[in-house]
Amino acid sequence: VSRPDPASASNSRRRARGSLSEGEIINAAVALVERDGVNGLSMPILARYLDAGVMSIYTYFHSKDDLLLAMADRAFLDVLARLPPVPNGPWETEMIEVVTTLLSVLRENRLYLTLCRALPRALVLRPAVMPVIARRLATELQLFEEGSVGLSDALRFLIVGGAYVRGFALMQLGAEEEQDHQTPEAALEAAVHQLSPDKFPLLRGASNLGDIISVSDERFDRTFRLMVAGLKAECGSGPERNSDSS
Amino acid sequence: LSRAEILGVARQFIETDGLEALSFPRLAESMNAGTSSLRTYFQTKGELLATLVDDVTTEMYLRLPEIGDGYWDQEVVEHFVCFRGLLQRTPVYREVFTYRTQTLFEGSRMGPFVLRRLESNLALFVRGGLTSEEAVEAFNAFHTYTRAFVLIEHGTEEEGAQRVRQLSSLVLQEAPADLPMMAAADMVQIQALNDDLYRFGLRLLVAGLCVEHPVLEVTRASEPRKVPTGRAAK
Repeated sequence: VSRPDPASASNSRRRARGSLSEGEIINAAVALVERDGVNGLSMPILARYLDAGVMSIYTYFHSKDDLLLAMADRAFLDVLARLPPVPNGPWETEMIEVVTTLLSVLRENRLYLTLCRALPRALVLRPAVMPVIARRLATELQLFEEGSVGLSDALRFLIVGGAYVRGFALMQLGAEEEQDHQTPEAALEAAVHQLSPDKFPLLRGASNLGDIISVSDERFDRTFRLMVAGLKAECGSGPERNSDSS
Repeated sequence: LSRAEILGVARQFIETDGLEALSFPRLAESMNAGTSSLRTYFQTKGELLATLVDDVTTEMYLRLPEIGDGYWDQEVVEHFVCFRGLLQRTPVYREVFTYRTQTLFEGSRMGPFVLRRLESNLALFVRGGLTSEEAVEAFNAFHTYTRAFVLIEHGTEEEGAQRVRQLSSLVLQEAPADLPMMAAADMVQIQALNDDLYRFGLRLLVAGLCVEHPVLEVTRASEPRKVPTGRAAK
């Protein structure tokens, strides 16, 4: 017990009770997660890192999950803050622009994705981010003004599209984690190569086989464009369409 | 300790804690065994995962009904609705298909069975009039959409419905006064991600494909659309 060790040295400098703020705790937790991953974070480790007692962390966060959710909220607010304002052009082109930017900003903000990966519940939009999201959605809805697409369908489209972007970014994160493996393209081609061309004409014949399950940016772009074209065709009522049918 | 036993426990582990948390030490601990006895069966975590993924994939594809010979768009929708259902109900499928897709195709493990399913998936789009390359792209669109949707849906299902309702009413408050409010009621009714929204996305993809490849429209089940009303016919 009398052995001098760094821990006891820092204990003597321990912070006064109550001097710790919520923001400080989150900052420290972010630093730890960035260094050691979500699994490397625990309340005791965090307390030691902050030179504080575990109880002063529990004052703000009842559990590690609570803390992770607060971190996710802040990370998501960072993502939203980095999005450029919604431009004011035709909705088809602007939606593609908006969503492409969102995908790249999400991917740059690995913290948010890492947290959602570790704790799927972090994907829920909590009160902290809700007003910001709502303002954003309301602005995006304005793109559909002039009755180009019904408001209800436009909102459904935004919700479905938003889920697609976030899910896609998470799948891209998963694909990155697998980079030590053989690429799926190579693996699939190797497997398909052994198949009989008579029984598997399509797999054997397709020159872009690797695209089957790819989560590349290009695939995302193509699929989202299909959705936009689909929305226009299914739910659109632009003037050109009326003149078509009359 | 047997190979099957290890796979069974690993699978349970993934179901409760997710793929990311799986490690040899934790697995050994929960089996009251040493990591070295695990290593007699599987040298690395990668090897264990590859075997597991292989089992899971084969099993999952076995549970997907065969593709019928109806109109391509109906069959596509039906197939992916089933796929989503399986991903939704079985956590280990969801983990594997969303985070380990590369492993799915790794090595020569992938059984001809799985490849046969893929071939018939592509055939569906070819039936509608696409080339094999276009079919690959179309398949990718539906497949990634479904995986992404299930992933977010799973994360948000517990509190999601309530939150989205709150969100919808907030949107209404934030919306500028001159925004047409005819759809206000619908907006508040929109719940968390659900079957209806998933199918809405599928419908957009089908319609988008038809715009991109007009040949598909001809072989589609639905009647050509009449005069647009401005609102989607539910």
